[in-house]
Amino acid sequence: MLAYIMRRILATLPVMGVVVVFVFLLVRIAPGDPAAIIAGDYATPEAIQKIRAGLGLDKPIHVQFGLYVTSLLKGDLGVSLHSRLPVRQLILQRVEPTIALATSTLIFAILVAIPLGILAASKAGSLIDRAVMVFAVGGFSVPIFWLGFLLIFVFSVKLDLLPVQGYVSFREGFAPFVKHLILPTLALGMAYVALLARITRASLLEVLHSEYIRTAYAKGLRPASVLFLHALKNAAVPVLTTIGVGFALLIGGVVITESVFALPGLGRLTVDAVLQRDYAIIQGVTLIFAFVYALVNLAVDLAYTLFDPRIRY
Amino acid sequence: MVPESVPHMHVEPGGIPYDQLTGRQKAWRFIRRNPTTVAGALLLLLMVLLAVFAPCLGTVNPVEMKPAERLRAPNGGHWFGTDMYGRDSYSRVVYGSQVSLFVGLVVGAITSSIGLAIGLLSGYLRRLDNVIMRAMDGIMALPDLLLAISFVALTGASVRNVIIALVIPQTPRVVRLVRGIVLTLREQPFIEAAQALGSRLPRVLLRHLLPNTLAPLIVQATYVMASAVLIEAGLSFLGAGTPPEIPSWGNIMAEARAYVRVAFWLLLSPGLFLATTVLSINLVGDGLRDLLDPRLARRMR
Repeated sequence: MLAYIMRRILATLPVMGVVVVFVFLLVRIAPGDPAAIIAGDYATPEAIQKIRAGLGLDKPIHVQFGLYVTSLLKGDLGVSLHSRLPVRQLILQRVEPTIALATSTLIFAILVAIPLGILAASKAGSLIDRAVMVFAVGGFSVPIFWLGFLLIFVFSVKLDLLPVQGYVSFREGFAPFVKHLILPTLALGMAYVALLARITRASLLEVLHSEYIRTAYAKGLRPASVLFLHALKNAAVPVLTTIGVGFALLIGGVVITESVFALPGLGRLTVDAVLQRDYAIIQGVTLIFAFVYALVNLAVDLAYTLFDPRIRY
Repeated sequence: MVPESVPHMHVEPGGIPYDQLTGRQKAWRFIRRNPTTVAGALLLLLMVLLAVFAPCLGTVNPVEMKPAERLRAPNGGHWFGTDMYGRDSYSRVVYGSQVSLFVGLVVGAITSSIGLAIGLLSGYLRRLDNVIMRAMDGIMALPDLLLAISFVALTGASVRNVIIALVIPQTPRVVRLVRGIVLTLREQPFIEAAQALGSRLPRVLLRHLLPNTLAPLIVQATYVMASAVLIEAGLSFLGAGTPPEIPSWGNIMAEARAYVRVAFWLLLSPGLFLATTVLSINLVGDGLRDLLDPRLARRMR
């Protein structure tokens, strides 16, 4: 088991390496001189040259890359071009709302989508099944920001049930914390629910058509035990894969959701950095998100064995 | 794979064989069997017509400001109301369809072509395969919206840069699909026969492998288009997409967001058009998938 985990971690290293190269190159190939951006509009050429030397931008590109990787390995993500604060510090300050939102969305999506998928598959062809499928296609087509504003308009402006925007830390009280997260979670989770419900249904339907399920029915088991004890476990692997792959959806959506609901998380940090062209922050956040995405998919890989003993380490 | 043969296999019990139906009967049967696909295609057609004939649909200049008429609710003169600068919201939404559909179409076309080329080479040439696929894994490890945001932030907001920013993260998905198909085809007798007959590389790729990838590729292209439309709107909404002087559904909503309490209609209409467009593309994609790729369709249904 341990050896397998080590091997899987080693297997993600090349991918992370490629990611680092991309993130590094993205800034280098972009037009516009970072040193000139930092120096401002009225800087003399000498001042710009000095900043460029300070950032190491006057060195050959492979040396720059070496320096970049060395500092990354030390956990140094660079310094913000505008606030001059370490990017690592800025990220740590903003990470809590994002983790809260991502976790609540993940829980919401799994708790809603999987029962929906099971319901649809067990009553395949029925009205419920069709309704779930319509919802699955529809939920995947609705833009997060539009859904977010619809929810704000209905639940905050018209019904006055929930706060419009903002974030309250769980340390300041659990009830306001939850209240502020409900609408963002719904908006962000919709596409994820749609995707997961669809895959759960498809995967379960395929299992339900297999021989051993027919045998289970033939020996007189109750339909509920066939579904929950026999079929569900075997339908789990594609669903797990989708939870992992769909996490990318969630990361991209976090940026938009935080913007709509004014949550002071990593997504807002990114959007603000985009508007200020603060590439150091953009690089740092992109790397962190890619790293988390890789970790989630690693966890998914390891979870396979819980459901399918045929997948061995 | 002969896609045309698929519908022919269905013969309704007691019905007339498919070949003996008249054209109109065939069309009716298709509509009856695929109501969502037909609905999606009609909606999409409607959106395309909207974009093409934007100037002749009762619109006014979408960027013309009339400060005296700002923030009017929907009425007879302004079907979707007016925005904070007194611009006609209906005209802006109709013109906004041009950017969305243009970006979706161009991204779909470029991504499929590049993805097809890389996928064919990667699947057929073992030596290239490893390098290419590791690079693709790297791009896929970056969340697509984030990659697109970074790219536009660094290169500047313009329609061209948005298109590039969308093509980069979408291409690996097409490459993977095409490569997967080529990997299974490569071992088949007809490819061996072609090689034994001395066919050159371009001929094997273009004459023998390419046609077999087309059906799944077209299906994938529709999904790429749907996400391109959605992500373009997201980018424009965040201020990293279509520049504000060109109306697009994303930036119309970005400007209207401060007025969610007083002028909700400004957010309602562009979002409704955006969701309808994405939905219609997805429905057409699902329909094409069922039609062209029955094996995959059974798995996804």
